[in-house]
This record gives sequence, structure tokens and C-alpha cells, in this order.
Amino acid sequence: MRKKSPLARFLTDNGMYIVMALVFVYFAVSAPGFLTANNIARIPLQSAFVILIATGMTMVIITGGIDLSVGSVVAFTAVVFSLILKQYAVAVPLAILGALIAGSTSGAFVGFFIVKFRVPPFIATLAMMTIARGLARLFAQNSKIFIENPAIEKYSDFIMIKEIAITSAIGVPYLVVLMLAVVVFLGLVLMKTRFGRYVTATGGNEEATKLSGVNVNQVKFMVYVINAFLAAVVGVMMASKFMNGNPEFGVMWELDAIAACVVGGTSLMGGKGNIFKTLFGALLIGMLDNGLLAQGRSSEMIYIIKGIIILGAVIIDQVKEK
Amino acid sequence: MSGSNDIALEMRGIVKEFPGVKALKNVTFSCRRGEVHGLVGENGAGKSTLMKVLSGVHPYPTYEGDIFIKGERARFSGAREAERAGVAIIHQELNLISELTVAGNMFLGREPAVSPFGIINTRKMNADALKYLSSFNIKIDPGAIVKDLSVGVRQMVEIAKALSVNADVLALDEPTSALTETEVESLFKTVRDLKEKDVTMIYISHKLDEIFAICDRVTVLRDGETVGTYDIGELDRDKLVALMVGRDLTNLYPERKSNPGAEALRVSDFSVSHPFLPGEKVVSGASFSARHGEALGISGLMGSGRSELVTSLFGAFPKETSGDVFIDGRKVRLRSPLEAIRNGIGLVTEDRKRFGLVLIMSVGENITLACMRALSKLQWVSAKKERAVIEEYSKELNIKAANSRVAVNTLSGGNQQKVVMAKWLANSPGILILDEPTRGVDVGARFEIYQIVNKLVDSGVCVIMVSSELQEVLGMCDRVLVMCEGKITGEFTREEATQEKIMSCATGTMSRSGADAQK
Repeated sequence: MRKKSPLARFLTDNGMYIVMALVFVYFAVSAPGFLTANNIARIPLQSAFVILIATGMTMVIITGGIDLSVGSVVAFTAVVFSLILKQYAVAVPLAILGALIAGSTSGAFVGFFIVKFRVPPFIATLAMMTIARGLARLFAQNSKIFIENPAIEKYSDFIMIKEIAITSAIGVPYLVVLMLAVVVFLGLVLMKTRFGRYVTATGGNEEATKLSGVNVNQVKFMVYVINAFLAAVVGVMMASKFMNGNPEFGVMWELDAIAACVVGGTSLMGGKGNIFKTLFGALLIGMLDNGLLAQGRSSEMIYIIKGIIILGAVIIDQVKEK
Repeated sequence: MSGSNDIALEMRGIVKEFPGVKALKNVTFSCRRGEVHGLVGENGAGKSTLMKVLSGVHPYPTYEGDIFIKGERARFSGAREAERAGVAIIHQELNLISELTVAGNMFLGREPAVSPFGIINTRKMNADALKYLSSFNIKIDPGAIVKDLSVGVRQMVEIAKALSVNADVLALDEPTSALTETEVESLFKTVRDLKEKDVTMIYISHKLDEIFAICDRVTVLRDGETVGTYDIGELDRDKLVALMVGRDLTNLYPERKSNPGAEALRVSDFSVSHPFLPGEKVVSGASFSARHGEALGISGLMGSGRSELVTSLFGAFPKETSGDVFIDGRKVRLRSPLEAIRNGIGLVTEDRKRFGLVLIMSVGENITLACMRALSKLQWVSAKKERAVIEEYSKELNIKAANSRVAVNTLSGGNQQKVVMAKWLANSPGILILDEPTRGVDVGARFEIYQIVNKLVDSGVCVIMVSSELQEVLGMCDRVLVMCEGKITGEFTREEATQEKIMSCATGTMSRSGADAQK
């Protein structure tokens, strides 16, 4: 094996953080209004939805899979949630529960097809992506379902994250608190629990893991359910935020989530990844969005620059592997 | 060098090292033009590695030594270049595209085009293919789709494909392993026809009768070294076997007193279906027992069903089994590795990289993978308990790694194998199955593995050791079973067993077809 100089090792080991710091300094200098407490605080808030999905996505990718359906599941869940509240005068927690179950079920289907019929994850989740989007549009009759249940107002402080929620009782938006709690919880699950170990092992070498007495089918099934559950949580929060269920929520979010994972160093080959790094990957992308906008760039430019940065981050990772 | 027209191919002083193992130490090998040259040796002797060096799969300069093709120095950078020099290898796993026609496969990548738009001139391609096929007396329709052909015919297509790119050195690697007797006959006929046309052939086979039936000369490899090259006339079967296996037994195997206890495992009339040939069996009617504190060896050639037998006992073979299995006198059903593990069985698999280790995980994580349940409470893994287990077994097995957090793929073959063993020892198995435990492991680590095995046996574990190395079985086991074509064809105690007896049980049924083939 070749030896690397300490400097080269430091640069490649911390590539993402270095890029992050450089991007931060660049925007601080070049973008007026970027370096204000309010704006900096907005970055995790703006990224929170994608981060929630990206945590589940990290687990899926570590098993060697991929999940393209989560963006559609967000919309599907938001529509179901709004529909329940509108059609039946049930208590909000019950509506939330129903919506979460509906959303998670999509993950159960995906997991079932992948495990039982050996459908490649790409295909199974691609199918679910169009099915869930179709169902959302069908249920919403191609428009939005407005939440008109006054009961939801009672919970608005908790689950709603309108502008008023940006500073909550503890000074940090609830959405950010929830997002961090999920990141820490799933991060620990992945690193410290038996299930987490099995997730990594399955992605590293499925055959060897199976021969070590691990039910790899169960592991694979579970990661898709967890990911769909998180997408469902996001769907409920989106509906609450905008007070409607829009079947066009979450378009392309699965790709944002995958980008966050990849920038965070998760290997698409499976077996390697870290949810905390995914968090930083998503924040880096969020910072780019925010800063480029503050620079007054057009959305077309933002797309292009983001793409280049994602590519760069992955190339750094590849170089590190060598 | 030797510019003589008679030498088609010469390999000198070939050394090939893999991390931790020297697969070829100093191999010299040469073939005369137009001869059929047998290449024999035990599994792991280096035959396949030598062929990979010859055919550019292991390119220059990943090996040391010189290769001359028709007197000219050859330094292939890849298989393509070797093909251009006229060297082709027909692998055990055939490399044809099953959806294409025979002609389509033969001319893959150099199809005759009908126009500048690149439309393939199928008629010309089929006609050209037919020309080659008939010039070598191979009777196949060039328009037939490959997936409709039998394995034997596919092999002929592969040979024809190689010849159509002007190969004049053909290496056939275990060509008859999947053939029926009539297919073997027609393969032999083709081989003889090609010989007439001055094609040089290297014939690799475990089936010694085939070697005697078809080869002019034989080179014997052992432990990565050339034992010698012999005219077929100066050999008989016993001599050849002795050359293949003959090696000094002293001190390779640590001593152990035989002291078997109660019966640990009994298997009666155990059969396993073939993975893709319906009606066929890879293991048929195997009955045996093994005791605590006993090392039971299972010997046999590649494809004899020994690996299938043990992986089925571990619940890891994907096909249904029949027959009864008793562990400590209790009848058990072992339908998954988890059930086998719960019944106290451990399996160190034959191919540790594919089935034994998660290569990108750490040494420690690999050691504890099969005993996670014991180390965790409500899913939470106790870091303290895990560390204790990792330390205990790293020390006991003397695993040499910078620390237990490095990825297991950074270790040498021997240490990787010790990690696999540690994984199972951490489960305190009553029965430990070792499938080729020292394959790709160098001599020093081998001895350590043997010591570990002896210690386990002394402590009352029932060790079942599958090995294609006869000395290993003889040196380590209290009792030896021999398998051939899915059946147990012999059983010997340590005192009775000799390499010759085992070899003849392992190859036993072959003498018939060999005699037929001779004329």
C-alpha cells in the first residue's frame, strides 16, 4: 500500500468539512446578508425536510439499495393526512397516526417486493414513486386539499412551522429539534445497535452476513419501512406547514436526499455510511442553496453549481478510496 | 530464447505472489507444437494461476519470470493481447453470450458489416462461421442460439471461437466437469483433430484417466512449483498420484492424541438436489457420524459434493435436502444458517472473501457478527462485552492486525482465515465445520490454524474438516470419509488411510470412462 503524506490524508479525510468551510467563507465575503444570525439559522430549517428523508436514505443505501419513492410518499402522506382531517372529524393525533401508517405501508410494499420477488431496489422504488404520486393526485383530484379542521390549530405550535414557529420556546425551531432528534436517534441505531450492525454487514457482503445467521431479508425490509415512515413524517409536517395536502409536494426530494448521502460519503456500493455525515452533506447543499440565492443568482445557475459541487464531493471520496 | 520451431510455448521461473501467499514459486513449463500437454496437481497447486499468467489475466509485470511464445518473448498486458499472440483459454465457466447465435458469439466485436452504417451481414457471418466449424469437424449450426445448446456443444463453440481468432495454443481448464460421457467422447475427437492441425493444447483435469487417454506429456505442479514434465508412457496412475501428492509429512502437522467422546452428529441417508439440473443430486444417500473430541476429514475432488454436503448441513445450500440429521442424539431440522447456529454448528466456508467475511468491515466487527445476539440487550450492543470478546479471540488465535478497528481486507490470507475462525469460536460451537480451512494460507499461518483445530478437538468440539489436500486430512483427522460424485465411497481410520487409498476412492468411478476413451 502507498503511504500518503499527513497533509494529503488530512485533506481527504476531512474533505467535506473543508469544502463546507470554504463555501461558508466564500459566501460570507461575497453574498450580502449571508452572514447574519437569522440567515445562518435558516439553513438547518430549510434543509430539515430533506435531512429527515436523507437519514432513512442513508440506511437504505448502506444496505446496497436505493429508494426513489420517498418524494412521492411525502405528497401521498400529506394528501392522506389532509383528507382524513377534512372528511372525518377525528382528533389530529389520530389523523397523524393514520397518515403515518399509510405512508409507511408504501415502504412495506417496496421492501416486500425487493425481498420476496428479488425486484431490484431501483425498479421497485421507481414503481412506487409513480404509484404513490398517482394515488396522491387521484385522492386530491389533481388539486390541493385544504385543511379546514379547526382542531389542527390546537397543535399548530407543535407541528406547524410557519414563520411564527421559527423561534419557539427554546429558541430553536421545533422542526430543527425534531430533525436533530431523528438524526441522533438513527445515528445511534446505526452505530450502536445490533440492527445497525446488520445493516452495514448486509451492504458489505450479503452472503457472508446471511451465513452468519442474520436474517438479511428482515434487515432489508426494515430499512425501506423506516425510510417511508420518515417520508410520511415529512408529509404530515408539510401539510401542517402549508395547511393543505398538495399532491405536488416533494418532487425530486429523493434525489436531494441521495445527494446529501453521497456528499456525506455514503457508498452507493453499500456497506459504508454515516448518518451524522449525511447531516453535514445536507447542510452543505442547504448552504449552497441559501448562499447562491443571497448572491442573487438565478435558480438555473443554482442547479448547475449544485451539480458541480456534488460531483466534486464524490470525486474527493473516490480519490480517498484509492 | 530457444528459437526452435518445435517449442510452442515456454514459461520460465514464473513467480506469482498474492498478498500473503506465494501462489507460484518457481514454475517452469513448456509445450511442444501440436502436442496435448496435461497439467495436473492438487487444488491450490497453482494450475489456474499459471494459466492466468499465461493468458494475460494476471498481466505483466504482476508476476516474475519469462514467457516465450514460439520463441518470442511475450509480456501480455491483458487477455486481449494474449489472444492476439494466439493464446486462448477455455474456462470452466463458459464465456458465451447466451442470447446470441453461435456465429454471433464467434465474431463478437468483429462482425462483418454490410454497409457503413454498421448493419451486420448475418449471411456472411454465418457462412464464415460454418467454414471454421467444418474445418475442425465441429458439427454445429452457426445460426443456433447459444442458450438452446448443451454445455458440451457450447464448449465446442468456445473452442471454435478461439480458433477463429487464430489461436494455436489452447488451454482447456477442466473441460469435462459438466459434460456427459458422449460429450466427452466428441470433445476428445475434436482435441485429436486439432492436434492433427498442429494446435497446441494444455489440458487441465483432475480426472487422471482423461490425462492418460488424451495427453502426450504431463507436467505436475505441487505447492506452486514444478515437480517435473513426463512423457505419458513413463507414467502410470499410481506414479502420477504419488508425484501429485508426494511431500514430506514431518512437522507440518502438530501432534494430538486421539480421544473421541460421545456422538455429536449423525447424518443418515442425506441427499441434496442439484442446483440447476432437475432430478440430479449433488449429494446422494450420505450417512455418517462424528463425535465430540474427534476430527473427521471429508476428502474428495472438486465437484465431488463435499462442499455441498457441509453447506447443506449448515442450512445454507439453496436446494431441498432429504434424510435425517441428529445432533447430540436429537433429531433436528436445519433450514437456515440461523437454525444451524442455534444448534451449535459453525461453518468456516470455502471462499472466505465471498462467504466468510464482510471485507470492508473491521476485524472486530467481523469477529462478533455471528454472536451479536449474545452481546446485545434490547438491540443495544454492549461495547464493553464486544471489546472483551474481540480481545479474547484476537489473542487466542494470534490475529496479527494493527488493531481490531482496521478493515479486515488489509490482513493477510492467513489472518483473514483466523478472523473467520474467531467469528465461529466466539459462538462456542459444539460442531465446527471447516471447508478448505487452509486454502490460500501460507505455511506459518497454516500451522497455527492446525494448532487451533487440535485445541478445539481436545476441548471436546466435533471438528469436520473438508479438504482437497490429502496430507492435511491425513495429518489432522482421526477418521476420513471420501466422496466421489455425491456419494461417500470410502471411510478410513487414521491408521488405515493412505493417500493412494483415498485417491482411488476419490477418482474410483473414472476408470471405466477412461478405458472406453482410450479406444
